[in-house]
Amino acid sequence: MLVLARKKGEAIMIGDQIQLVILGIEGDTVKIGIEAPRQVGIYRQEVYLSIQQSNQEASTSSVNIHALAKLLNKTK
Amino acid sequence: MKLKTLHFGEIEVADETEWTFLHGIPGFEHLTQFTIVQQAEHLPFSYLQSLEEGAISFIITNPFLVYPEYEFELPDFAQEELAISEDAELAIWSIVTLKDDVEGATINLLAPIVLNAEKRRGKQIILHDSSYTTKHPLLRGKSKASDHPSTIQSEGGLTC
Repeated sequence: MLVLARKKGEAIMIGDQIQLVILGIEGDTVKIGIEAPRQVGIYRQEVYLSIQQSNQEASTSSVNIHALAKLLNKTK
Repeated sequence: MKLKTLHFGEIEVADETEWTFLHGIPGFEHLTQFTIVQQAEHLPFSYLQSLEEGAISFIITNPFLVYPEYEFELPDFAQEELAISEDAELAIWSIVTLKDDVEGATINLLAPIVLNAEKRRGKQIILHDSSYTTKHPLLRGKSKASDHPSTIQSEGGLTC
């Protein structure tokens, strides 16, 4: 992993289109500004991982929609 | 094309019912081609079926049936990727996760699936700074769903 030390107000370029600016540091929280092309998706890692996990759980569901159908019928 | 699937056996998929997800979906970034299979007309559920891996499919539903107040803003990069024009017709779906206990089924409101019918493109959008999560109970709307099956059909979004 590449490690760079940056001060508040300084920035990092990733390629020639993505810029990360250190906006501020408070305690153990760093505020980062991100400039990137519109087509680049930017996510908090834990959010992206939670979607991955949720999709994986959803794809391996052993029950099919007939089970859901039964449930709906039961609630009629 | 013909496709062998886990849930439906071999199905025939017409080109015009294919959806392209340019970057796949999280967890399945390598899968870019999907179709939507509506297995039972009276149910508000469909399957988002991978065309590349027959064993991969997701149960999807219209989130507004269960959560009528559901709303989100489509981020710029998503509009770009979906090639959304001014009069684009969009369909919104949410992925349902079933546990062994069906009553514990949940719906993912944090990452809706948006389809642009005009360009046949789809994307699972991850909402920023949202109070929605990946696991809202599905059965909140159960009485509504079974009371008005006919409206479920008309509101069920685009199926293929």
